[in-house]
Amino acid sequence: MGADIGDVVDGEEVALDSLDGAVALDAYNAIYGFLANIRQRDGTPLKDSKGRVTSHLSGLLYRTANLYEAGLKPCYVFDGPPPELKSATVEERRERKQEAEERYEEAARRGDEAEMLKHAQRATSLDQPQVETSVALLEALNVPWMEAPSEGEAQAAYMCREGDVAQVGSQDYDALLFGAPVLVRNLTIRGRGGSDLTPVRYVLDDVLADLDLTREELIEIGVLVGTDYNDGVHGVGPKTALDVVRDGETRERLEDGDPDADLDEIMELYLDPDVTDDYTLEWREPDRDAVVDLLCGEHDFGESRVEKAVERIEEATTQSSLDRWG
Amino acid sequence: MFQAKINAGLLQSSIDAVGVFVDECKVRVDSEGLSVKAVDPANVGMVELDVPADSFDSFEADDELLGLNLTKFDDIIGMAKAGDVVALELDPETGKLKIQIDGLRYTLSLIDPESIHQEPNVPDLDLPGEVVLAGAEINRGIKASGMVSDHMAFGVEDKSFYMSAEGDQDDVRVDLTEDEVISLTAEEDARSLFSLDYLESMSKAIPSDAQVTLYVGSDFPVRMEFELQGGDADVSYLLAPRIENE
Repeated sequence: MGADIGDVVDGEEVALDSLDGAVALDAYNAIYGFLANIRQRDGTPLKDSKGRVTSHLSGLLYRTANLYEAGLKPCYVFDGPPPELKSATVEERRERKQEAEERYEEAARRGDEAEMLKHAQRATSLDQPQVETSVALLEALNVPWMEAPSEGEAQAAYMCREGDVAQVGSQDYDALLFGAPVLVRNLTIRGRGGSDLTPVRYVLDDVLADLDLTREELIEIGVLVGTDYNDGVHGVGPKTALDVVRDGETRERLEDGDPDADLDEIMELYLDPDVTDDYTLEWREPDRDAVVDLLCGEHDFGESRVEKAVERIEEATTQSSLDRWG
Repeated sequence: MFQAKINAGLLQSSIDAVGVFVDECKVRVDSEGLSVKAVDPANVGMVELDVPADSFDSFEADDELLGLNLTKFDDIIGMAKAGDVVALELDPETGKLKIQIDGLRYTLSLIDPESIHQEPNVPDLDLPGEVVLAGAEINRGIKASGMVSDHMAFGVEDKSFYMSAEGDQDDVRVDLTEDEVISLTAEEDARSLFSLDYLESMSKAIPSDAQVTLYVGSDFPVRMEFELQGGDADVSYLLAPRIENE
């Protein structure tokens, strides 16, 4: 989930077509979004004839094609092992999902489609088979992907700071805390009813200048409202947190409200996360036969729609842009 | 201030040359004449158009930047007959463009230039191959290539210029030796591949009787320069290459 600081950071709505360059996408964040949102009205995800979930493959293929077509070059960054501090969050999420699953069953017994959809989305889990098929699809599409040494968003933010990608794509604001110069939300997500959401672009320097804060102080806001590494102070939202940080009272409030949080340790995780230079970004032409074999052969996708999406990616990967010589 | 009279045919072919890549563009007018620089939304093809003040029947302009909807403008100019003169005048009160063609008056709303895709920076490229040939030759090579593939190559080797396309089944190749073209300079062999989608649209704007100067490099953009109506307007195209995998 990441730190919910959306109420205090201002972004700019931008047209998808106006974005260009490489984008490092938080892979788990994107795939989780596909699994949660690409569902039928009663919450049933897309499945192949063997009953295996395919919502994530559908999302990956069509969104990736859309991003390419808009002039972006996507690469997917998967989480590696989480930092130790995050294990509490992971456990808590597991419990929440279990509860949602139970409530989904209840709703199903009542036949309440709206409730079923809601709880099915909350119960979304991203398991190993889905990660594996996602990676297989990215390989077939020749879309670059990598596993981060630790947090995907930290690695994506690092690649953006290095100038290897022009922006990070995620729904979470954590990328800003990790120091990504540019974060774009709504790149891989669709709104209710399948309509596209407008991308929102956040420029870290502008965000900090607007709030007159340092990045460390922005992280403090995150810690006060709660991050993947701590619970946050009960009853403190981003706006209150902003006042607390401006008053220089972060440590006091944490001592009272979230005594387990170690501000220095969390600060360190955001400022100096485990990242790597071991990646290559190459956007090559998709292997059309491999994509068709995987999606149509294995998972019962319709061939003509898949071919069309592959063609859109082919076009984008075979035609260079004048920017290269600009 | 902008007020000018121009031959309808020249105006039409100038718009068509720009319309290959964009539906709207920024038009610059100043004492030197009228010019446009535009790039298509995918940033693959670029056009520079220059119509010097001398090419107009009459021309007066202070520095102005006009945002023009080309599709609409093209339709209006299409109302002119061969040999008609088109009078253009920017109304300083309304900011609209008054167009007059043989008794027909059309007041065209302009687009806020700020809302139009930024004018591109023209890259400075050192392209080793330079060939001058008739527009008809290039158009023929493009047409033949379009029959077999969706992309084609321009290249120079052994003192000749070639256009070629390889399809799944059929191949096309046009070789023109040094003697068969107007002039050819090649410092080294060069070859680049281009999308026929783009080339076929560009081809429509290249007059058969124009003398085209084509600059080619290895996996570099191609530049094509030619004149409309015997020297009345200069057009320069720049097209980014296809990426050759493997």
